[in-house]
Amino acid sequence: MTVSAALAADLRALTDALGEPGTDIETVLRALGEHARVAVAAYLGFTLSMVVDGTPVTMTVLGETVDHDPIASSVLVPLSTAGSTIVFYAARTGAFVDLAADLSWTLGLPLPAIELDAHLEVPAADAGLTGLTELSEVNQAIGILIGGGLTPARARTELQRRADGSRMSMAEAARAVIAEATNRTD
Amino acid sequence: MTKRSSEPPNPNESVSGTARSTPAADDVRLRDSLADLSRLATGDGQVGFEDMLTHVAEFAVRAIPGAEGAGLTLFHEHGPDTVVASSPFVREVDALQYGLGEGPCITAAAERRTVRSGSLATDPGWPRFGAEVDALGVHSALSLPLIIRRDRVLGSMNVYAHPLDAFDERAAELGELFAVPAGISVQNGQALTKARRLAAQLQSALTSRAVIDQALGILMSRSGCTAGEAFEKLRVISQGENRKTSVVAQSIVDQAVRRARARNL
Repeated sequence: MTVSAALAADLRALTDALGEPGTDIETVLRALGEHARVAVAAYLGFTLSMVVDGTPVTMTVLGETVDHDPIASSVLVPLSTAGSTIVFYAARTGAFVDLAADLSWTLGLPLPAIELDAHLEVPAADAGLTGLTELSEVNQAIGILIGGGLTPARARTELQRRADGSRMSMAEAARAVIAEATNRTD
Repeated sequence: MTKRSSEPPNPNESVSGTARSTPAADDVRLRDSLADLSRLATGDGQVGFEDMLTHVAEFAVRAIPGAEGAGLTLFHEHGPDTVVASSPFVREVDALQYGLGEGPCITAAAERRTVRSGSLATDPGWPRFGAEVDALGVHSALSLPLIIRRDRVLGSMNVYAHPLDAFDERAAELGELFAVPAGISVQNGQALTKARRLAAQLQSALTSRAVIDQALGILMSRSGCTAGEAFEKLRVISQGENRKTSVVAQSIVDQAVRRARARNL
């Protein structure tokens, strides 16, 4: 399993932010990868996705063999009501049929909620946590607006207003707020 | 001859005692337990991993004739890790084995085979364990390794009964039939648990990171510095006050929010 340098750096930063002694998010990630490698025939990797304050955040970790073993099967499993999901990939057709059926019962979900073979394109895995930079920018902009006298709820609303008014994304509007704040001279 | 025990009567004896079980009844019990195994879900669809293992142990008691209690042990590289039991007496028996480092469970996992004993006190395989478990009045054991892909031993499923010779070959066969899907369910449950744990930790970390970024924004608004410069200021404050960065960040945000709310009253 290959954890890119960018992803490793992002995970280190998040582990530091978590501030829990003895916890290392990369270690937890590698344990999951190792367990999946043993459990699934021709296992290739996974993509974990979640939505944080409206911003999608994803990470993908793939094995070294994915370049010459194309993805032949995949399974998407919902992880919680917060919208997080995980997609596992394998190089063998039908590798997840039994897992999907088992988890369908374990999670109490109808089988269609666990999507089989709907993610067969190789995802980009050389980036870190996608969405993390955008999330940081949005929160920094919210912090700037809080510093300017807005409550957190009003700051978020104001940022959304600016984004909508200029037909920008929240991240683009955030960058504009940051640029305005850092270009200002006292 | 079966030695009568002074221990509590087998609650399943009227249905699954070896003297009165039939192949047809055994198959029904096994089928029902396997069906329940595939329906491990609470009302909200979220089953804790240890709860799931406990259910597997309870289903094993129903599936295996003669069983009075069952336990599941998952082995880590350093020894037994997660240990669950369907009854308190099973915990006592398992604790004895792991404390002594010998017993049918340990043998089953180490030698990757079904282990059956009808007289634990006199079984030459585990002399120390036999002597101690005799005091608990438990005389029969059936231990089955949980073997998954790549011939890897995940742990073992251990079934116990107070009477002597409680488990015959039929019980061992049914146990082996149950152990295969049980091992797969446990393995799948482990994968799901690890994925959930990773997602939960990321969610927590991202929430903490959000507070830090907002604190950076507040610092940036005060001095016009960049995010990198603001982070350095935060780090210096954190070191100077000997407090975690996330704690200092929360203080900065809380203070700014209080001011904002006061201003907006």
